[in-house]
Amino acid sequence: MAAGIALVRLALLAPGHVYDVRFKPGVNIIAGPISTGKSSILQLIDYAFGSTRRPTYPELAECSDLLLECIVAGDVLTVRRGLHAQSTKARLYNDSIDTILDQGSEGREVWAGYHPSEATVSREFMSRLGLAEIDVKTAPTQAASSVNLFSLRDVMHFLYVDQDRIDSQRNAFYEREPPLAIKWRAALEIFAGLHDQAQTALSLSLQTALTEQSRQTQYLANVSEFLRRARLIDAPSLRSRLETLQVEREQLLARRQLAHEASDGKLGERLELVYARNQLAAQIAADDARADELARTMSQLSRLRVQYDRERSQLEFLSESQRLVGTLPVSRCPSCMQSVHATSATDTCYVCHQALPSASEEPFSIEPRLTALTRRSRDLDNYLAELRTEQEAIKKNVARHRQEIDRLDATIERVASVASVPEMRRVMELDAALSTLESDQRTATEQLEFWGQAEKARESSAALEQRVVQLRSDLERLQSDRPSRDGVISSLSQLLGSILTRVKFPGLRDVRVDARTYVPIVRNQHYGELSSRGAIALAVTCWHLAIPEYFSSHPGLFPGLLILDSPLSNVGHDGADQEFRDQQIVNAFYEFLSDLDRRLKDFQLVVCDNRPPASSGSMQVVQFTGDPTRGRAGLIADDRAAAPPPPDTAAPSLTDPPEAQ
Amino acid sequence: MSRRNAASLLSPTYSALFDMGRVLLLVDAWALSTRDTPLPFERAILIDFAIQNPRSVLGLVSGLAPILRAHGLEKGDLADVFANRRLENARERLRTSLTDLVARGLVAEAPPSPTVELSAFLPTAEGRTIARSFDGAYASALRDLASTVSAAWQRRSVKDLVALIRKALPDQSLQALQLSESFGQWMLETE
Repeated sequence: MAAGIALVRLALLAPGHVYDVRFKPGVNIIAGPISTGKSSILQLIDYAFGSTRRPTYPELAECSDLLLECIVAGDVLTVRRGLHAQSTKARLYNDSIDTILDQGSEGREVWAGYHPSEATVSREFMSRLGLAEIDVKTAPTQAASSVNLFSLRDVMHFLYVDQDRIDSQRNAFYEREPPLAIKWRAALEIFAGLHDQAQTALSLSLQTALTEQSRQTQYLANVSEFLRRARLIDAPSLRSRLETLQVEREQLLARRQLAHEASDGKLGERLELVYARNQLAAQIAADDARADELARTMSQLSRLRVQYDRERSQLEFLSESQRLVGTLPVSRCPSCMQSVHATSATDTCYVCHQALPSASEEPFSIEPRLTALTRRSRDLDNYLAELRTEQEAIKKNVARHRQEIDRLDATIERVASVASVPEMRRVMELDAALSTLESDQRTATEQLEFWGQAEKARESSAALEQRVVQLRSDLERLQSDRPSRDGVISSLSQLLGSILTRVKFPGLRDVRVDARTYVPIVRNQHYGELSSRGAIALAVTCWHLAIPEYFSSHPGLFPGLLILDSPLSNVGHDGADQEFRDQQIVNAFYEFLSDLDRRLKDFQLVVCDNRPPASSGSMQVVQFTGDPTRGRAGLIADDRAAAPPPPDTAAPSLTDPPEAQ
Repeated sequence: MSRRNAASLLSPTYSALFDMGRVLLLVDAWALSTRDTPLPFERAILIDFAIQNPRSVLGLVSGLAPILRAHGLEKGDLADVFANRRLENARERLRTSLTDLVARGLVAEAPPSPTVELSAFLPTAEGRTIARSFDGAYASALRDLASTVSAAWQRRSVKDLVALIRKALPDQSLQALQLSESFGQWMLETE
């Protein structure tokens, strides 16, 4: 099988020794008694392919590295992995082990196990096997999170049937490990071309495209109906109209700007006039207030002036009284009215002894008071005159301002009625025209956008139609190339029945492969319900042997490798069940293997067995004796001369530190 | 205050001289108006009050207003505000003034009739001469006022005149308000 995996050589590097196991195309039987390392060889193969379980064979302790040389899809590929290293790294070479050991190829370091992004052993093998980038479910749910990339580990879970599984009643096909069982079934479907990832994707795409096409068709129908009813102008006419409208709009904007500026100018002039008028009115108010204040002050001062006049007249009268009356001598006592002599020298009344006014007495002078009063009157008159002058000036100012206000009012009225309003009206008219024009523009733009959308929808619909045709074609092609599930199950069932017949399965009847779980049903029983472990081991082994038989006549991605550990335990002389303690079954099985060895060229089977029949000698690639004196005793032994130690230039051990290389 | 002092001439000497001159003019005017009928003391009090506060009794004497205008006395002043108080002590002041005039021989006490014992006064010859020697503006105004009031009130009973005057005297505060609103308010606030 050019596209599959073929094991070539397994080498264990130990100080001074290289322990080899070489494989050949076809059936490879590893024979030997127990505890000689047969199963360890199979485990080492699995380990080289990325398993995390290292073989527990005690003698391996002296070995540092494992090298497994394969031919993958026609190319030599060697995996090197440290046996004692805790590292999960491996090294890949595109050279044979001999080349590696002789010439010390560097190879490239990769991850032995899973890594989300970097190179791994699995990625290298899967890409070469054409099994890369396939999603498989890890749980029976619809959730996308339960999808994993199909890996080399999943392949090896299918290809390598260890001792624990081969006669297990309940776990030969990972029934107790559902995630593994799901991937195991997925592996079979992928190998057989039943995995519906591509078909599902195509179907989904087709369904989506059909839905979208239906929607587009409906939309286009609606558009056509709308166009029929609306009688819209066609797109070119609309474009032309839009251009015209744009030109008109620019013209209108320019005219509006001019009108606005003119209006603003008039308005500004009017505002200045109003401002000047208000200033004058404020000035008049201030003048009026000052005039009122002056009037009040002058009124008060006028009263004072009257008071001064009256006081002066009274003082003059007093002066007259003093001159005319005050100088007269008294002839009677003013107190007791007793007559007194005018010539008397005494100053007192001789009766009542009251003081008598003296005629010669110079009582006082009122002149200073009159002078002061006259000065105060004059000052007051002057002040009143100033106030009166100011009052007159204010009156004149107010009158002048009132005239100015009247003139400004007339001007404002004239500006408002004659100049500003028409300009404003013009601006408003232009605004209205602009608004109408812009509305037309919007309508035309919307219609044009609608035309654009309709055109896009038509283009999209045409592209969608092409895509639907392409998807249908792809799907049909995929479906025509793809085998049917029932056909695969039926073929496998027939092959399983045929193989079981050939190996002389006792009491064979009602053989088939379960259509849901793909596990063997023998004697109309689930394989786990068969009478003995021998029956189970034989059924499970034959099921696995039916796989290469199937792919020998059907196309698929089966890697062409199968590894079975002790398939005939509990059969033949080891059988606990009388029915399966029949050597003829063993012989028939090995005859079948011999037949496979002859017929299937692109298939490699690795089987280990304690005591294969002598007839299988040509298929035995390793024969451990368990006795160092007779041939090769076990895996870590050599019946030949020890292989030459690796040259100094050999590739470094993965367990050695890099500095030591 | 200075304004009031100046107007009322509160110096006792000034006041006495001023009052003697005024009362002499009054007695002379009465004598002229009544053909030398003695002026009874009670009636003299009222007439003297009237010529001192002519604006307060303006409504009681019909010919008073033209005389006030003629002499420039029509404008009121603060003296009018205190007319009420002046009426209260008019008797004492008049008595003092008449006593002074009698002591100087300018006025003589003369009963109105032999059967009536009332204080009544007439100017002496010297008193008449001196009274008519007053030729100032204020003296002229006083003389006119005294003649007018004497002519108007010479036949009315003193009792009626007292009632009329008391009724006619306005409220002092309202009168002050009429002089000047702001000044009147100030008066109201402080009183």
